[in-house]
Amino acid sequence: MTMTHLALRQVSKVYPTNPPLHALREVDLDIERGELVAVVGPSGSGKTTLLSLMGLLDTPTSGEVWIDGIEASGLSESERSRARSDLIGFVFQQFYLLGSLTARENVATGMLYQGLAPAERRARADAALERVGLAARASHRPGELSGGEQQRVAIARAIAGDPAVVFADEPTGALDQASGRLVLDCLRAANQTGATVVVITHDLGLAEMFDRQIHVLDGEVSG
Amino acid sequence: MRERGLRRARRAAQDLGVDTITPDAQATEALPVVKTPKRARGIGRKRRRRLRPGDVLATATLGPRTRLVRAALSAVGIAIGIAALVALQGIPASQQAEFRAELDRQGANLIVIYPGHESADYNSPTIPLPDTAPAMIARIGPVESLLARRDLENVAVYRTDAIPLGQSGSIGAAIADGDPVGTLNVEMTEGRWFDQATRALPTAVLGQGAAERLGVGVGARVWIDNRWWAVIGVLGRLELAPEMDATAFLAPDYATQFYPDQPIASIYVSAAHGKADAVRRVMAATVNPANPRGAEITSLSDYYGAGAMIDQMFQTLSLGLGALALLIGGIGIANTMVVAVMERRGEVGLRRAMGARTGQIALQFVLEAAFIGLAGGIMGVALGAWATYLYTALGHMAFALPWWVVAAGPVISVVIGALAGLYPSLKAARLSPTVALRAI
Repeated sequence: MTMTHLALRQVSKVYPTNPPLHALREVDLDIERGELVAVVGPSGSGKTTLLSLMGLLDTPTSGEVWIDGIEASGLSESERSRARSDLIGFVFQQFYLLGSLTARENVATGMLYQGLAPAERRARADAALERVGLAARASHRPGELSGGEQQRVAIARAIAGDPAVVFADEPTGALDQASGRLVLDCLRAANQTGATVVVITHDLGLAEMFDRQIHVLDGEVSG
Repeated sequence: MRERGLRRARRAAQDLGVDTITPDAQATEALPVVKTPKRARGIGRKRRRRLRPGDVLATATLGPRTRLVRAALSAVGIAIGIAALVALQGIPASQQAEFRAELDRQGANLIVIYPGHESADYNSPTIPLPDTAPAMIARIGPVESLLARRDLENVAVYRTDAIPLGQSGSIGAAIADGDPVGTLNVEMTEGRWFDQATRALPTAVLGQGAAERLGVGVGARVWIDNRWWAVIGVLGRLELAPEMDATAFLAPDYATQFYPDQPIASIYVSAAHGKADAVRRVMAATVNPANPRGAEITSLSDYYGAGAMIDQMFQTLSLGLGALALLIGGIGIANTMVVAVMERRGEVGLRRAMGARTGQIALQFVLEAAFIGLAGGIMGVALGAWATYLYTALGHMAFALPWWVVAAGPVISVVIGALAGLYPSLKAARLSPTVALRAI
């Protein structure tokens, strides 16, 4: 039996620019637990806003965001932070690795706010690096890794804490095709271990490799 | 194990009958709005997680470790301020220590009593010191020794009786009773001071100046007021009482029969170390109980107060300069932190995405600024101590650094660093995660 994992109900997001920018318009969306979903759409269509709302990084102007059975609008800022640390892993196009830390330390930092002991963080970081095929590069700093490897470290960081959902915003956007494929394989592997994976991309060819495609256009969602 | 708290909370919410999302929910159908109680969600404030101290430290030092040169340059600003503060406290403290050491060498425990005056006018008649004064003073516990001097007016000292009157070489005569060696911290150049036998005989002890001018020593005789006096001793240089250096001291018991009722000109008193002030406080009433104002009492320890006053002024000035330097250092740190926050917006966004609370972000940057301040404070104390040491070493002075300056330097710099980092830290904490992540 599947179960709805993420849901948006009549969600709108309006940025208070002049004139106001309607990034999302009354969006309803359900994503089942364990799905591998691509969110596609052209630049400015509202994909990143959608990810921000589903990932509890931002709040909707109206409507409800449900994640793992909890309606997010009732959460305080502190509770949203905790929900992010416990439930969600993020992968960004720019990797956001800390340059002075090794790959292992970067991955372990991803669990810093979960309250895990340092030894457990290190053990999980090593396991996550193993899963993305970078166990041998655990002691390397980001500057010593290729772009694809850096993104895989970022994926290891996102999945090391065993999140329920992984959001990836254009994870292959800065990579060549071969590196991008490896990154996608890592995300797919994370999905196979039970995580719901939502990947944002503007690349329709890439999106076709996913179980489901959600199309965003001018703040409206279909699919 | 993962998301334990939230899953437990979700089960609890279901137990309570509040809604969760089900597969039957239709995309276009709004779910009944029933807020899940925070208690049921299990993510209320009581369950707020705190970073371990080691993690807090590692996070706070990450920035300075990554941008070492910039952090060091920022710390130098504070270091200069603290160094100025330390040196400007240390140098006067060293000077004061040297001053005290010099006073001790000079006889800081020496108290001198002169006859007082009847009024504030220095030319007014003097009030004689009572003859009982030396005995009374000797009874004061911390008094170690004393010397009472009675000047013999118009009594000249000659090498022989062949010297014409008036060519005395300005050598005076006095009756001195007591112990000059212990009181005035002087050695006998030759011979000895009066003992029970010689004090009743026509004997004299010469001051160094008197012996040099007369060109005589122990074994010689001197001609004083138409009598021969045998020289039995010569005192060393009287640094603490130079006015007596060119004086011939006559045996007290023997001389008194010729010069009775001579008033006491001065009494020199040596107090135990560190007791000069205490002795001095009771001195006036001891010397002349009937008229405590009838004695003028001085001591070298008076200069302690004068030195302290000068130090106070110097310290006030130095505190002002140090504060100014610290203000400039603080602005340097604030500037560094503002730039750091601007540069590291991506990191802020990432940490927020990873679950950092606003308070944790603020704490990270405040501690980072405080850490830079601490580094600057330690550098500053070392620099200031070194400057003080250099100053004292070059001046062959005693080195002294108040302990509170050493302790306060890092504390002050940490506070300044934290205050300087407060605004940038709050700015970082208030960054919305999405805005921070878009910044790169």
